[in-house]
Amino acid sequence: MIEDELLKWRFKCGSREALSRIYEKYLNNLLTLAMALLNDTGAAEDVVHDVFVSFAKSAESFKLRGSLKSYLGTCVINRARDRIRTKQRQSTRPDKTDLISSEKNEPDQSVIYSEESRRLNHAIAQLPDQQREVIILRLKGEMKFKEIATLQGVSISTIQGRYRYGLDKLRSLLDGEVEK
Amino acid sequence: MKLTNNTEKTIRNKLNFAASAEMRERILTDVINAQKDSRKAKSALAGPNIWSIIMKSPITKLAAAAVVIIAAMFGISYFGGSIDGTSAVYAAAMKAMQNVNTVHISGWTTRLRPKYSTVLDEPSASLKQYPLEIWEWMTENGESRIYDRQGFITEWDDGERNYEYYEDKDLLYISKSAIHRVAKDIQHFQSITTHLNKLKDKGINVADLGTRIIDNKQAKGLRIERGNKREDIWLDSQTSLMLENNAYIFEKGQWRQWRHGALTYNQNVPTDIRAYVPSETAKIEYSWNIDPRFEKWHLHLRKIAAYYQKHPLPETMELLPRQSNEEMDAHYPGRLPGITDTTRLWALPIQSSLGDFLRRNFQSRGSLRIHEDLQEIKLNHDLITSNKFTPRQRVDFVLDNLGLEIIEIVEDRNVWIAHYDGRPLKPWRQVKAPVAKPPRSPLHPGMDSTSSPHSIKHLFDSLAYWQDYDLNADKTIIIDQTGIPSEPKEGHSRESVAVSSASPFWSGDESIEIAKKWFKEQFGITFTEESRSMTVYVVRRRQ
Repeated sequence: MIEDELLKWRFKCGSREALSRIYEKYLNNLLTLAMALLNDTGAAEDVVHDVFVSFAKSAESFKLRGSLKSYLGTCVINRARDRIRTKQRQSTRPDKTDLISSEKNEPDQSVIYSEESRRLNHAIAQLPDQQREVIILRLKGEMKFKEIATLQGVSISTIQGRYRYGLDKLRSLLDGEVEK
Repeated sequence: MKLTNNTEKTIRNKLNFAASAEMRERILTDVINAQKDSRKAKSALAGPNIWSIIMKSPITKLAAAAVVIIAAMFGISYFGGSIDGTSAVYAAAMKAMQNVNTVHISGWTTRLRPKYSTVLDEPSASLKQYPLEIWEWMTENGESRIYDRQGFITEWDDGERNYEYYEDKDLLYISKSAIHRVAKDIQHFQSITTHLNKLKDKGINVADLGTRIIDNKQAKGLRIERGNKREDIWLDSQTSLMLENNAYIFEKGQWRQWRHGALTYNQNVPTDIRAYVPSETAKIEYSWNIDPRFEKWHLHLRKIAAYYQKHPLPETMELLPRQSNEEMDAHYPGRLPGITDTTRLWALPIQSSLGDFLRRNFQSRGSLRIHEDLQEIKLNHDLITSNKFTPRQRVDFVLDNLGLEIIEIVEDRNVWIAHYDGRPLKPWRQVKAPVAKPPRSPLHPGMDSTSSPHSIKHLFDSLAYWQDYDLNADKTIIIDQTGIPSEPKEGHSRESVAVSSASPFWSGDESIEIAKKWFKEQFGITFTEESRSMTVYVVRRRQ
């Protein structure tokens, strides 16, 4: 915590090193949050990119009393929500032209993950948005129920309910899948 | 194992995504530039008082007080502090490393610790001393390389792959390179910085060990202690370079040394280490983050490198025919182990028809004409080339090897002149393809064909590329009069001239209207059409 306070101060003073350190420290954590919420490598990269770029620009006006990790996590959540809303509004246009093969694309290796992470994320992606958000914020964002309740604008008991239902569903999804 | 009651634990511990080195670098560049731009835009203000920030929070207030008390009692320093001069020592040692090209560490260790694989489970209480030899050096293009031999484990990283070879098991474990080719401020020489970074750790106890002579040099000692771990480092009093490093662990009531390293600098790296080739006979295991599809290609590159150990390297370029028709997924530049680092030669895989090769590599999109029969010529080669050659020179070289040439003729062509209305461009990441591409859907006009930062020139070229896919040079070509820059300024990344995250698929006549609409809406670019005399490049048999 003290290290984060020092980093916040040095970042506010314009330190490139502090910004780089914050970036290195939280990049993968934020990427995991974004991947868990969006289940899309490109979109997750965009979100994390935008969060860090906005953060980098905010030095002068930056005022944060609480946890840096929670702050950045919340930024990811907000941007991920925007993405999900935009995506839901977009209508996909079915096209009936003939199949035309593209050039061979290289595999997407921009995000590194284990097979188990992929499986878990696939299961999480099947949860309703609100349950998914609570579970991810609680377990990967390390946020308290109270903080999540404030973020989602509902009562703590509602959040706890979403968490419980989400976990139950996740448990059954994973039980059905893992066969070891 | 059934995941029933452990769901929370599983999500906490097992759900992890990590950015690749490329993504890490890509975002970091933008982040640092954003900070720089922001600083330029706003006048510099004096830094705020650290205590006013720390003391605003009751929890950090208590924590800060605790740190000050503990530091006063035990002489503990923490990152950024200067209570006992630890920061100054760290800064001097890191600065000294800036003049280093090569590090050599020799010594011993009682712990064999594979970094990446899990094939070894050596008991940590072992007292056997295994010989230790580490070489770390910088290549000509600023990348770092590590050769690390500890007992029967040899680890070597060629910048593409990390190899861990277990001599006792004849097992080769291959994982992705751990070397991040990132910004200058990311530390190289991990074999040293790992130890120096301990000086920045929280909760360390640092003690002065005085001075002693090491290899006729006066060395100043520092003892860094935390919990049951201790490290004694000896730094050259004159240069601040680390000369010796000894690690200890507190066990059974006493400190036991488990590692000793003596360091020397700027020596010549032995050739067999610089061009180390992992065992080809070994049983191979891949890490989870390796796509085995490209392993044939990496093996092929090692074979090309081995070929050049017996044959002279080309003075310019060389078109090497492949011995086998076996198809393999490949990417370029193909780094040739032991060669690319020193000569900058690399391999361009050409396993396609001549038409496909030209389509990808001839830069004047929409202006190349080649007869169908010639397009069908099958290529199964690797072009050994380097960055000093232009794509056009590579094309000419390949054609020459096939007995072909390019002649230039002038013809009246239908051209689109691109004009820009000067509106502010959107951030490139916000510009998407006009037609959404559902997962696993075939490409249709307007769908994104490749996602990455694209300049306006690339988008125009791409339109001409898809329109003239049959290489007849009879479709529309675009003349860019927008004035929107497409070449990054020196020292800037290609993101600096990016205007779109998508490069749409523009095949067929039905693409034309979608493209026009997209360019107008996204960038304020419109086209006027006219006929102009333009150069057409015709491929023919050499005469």
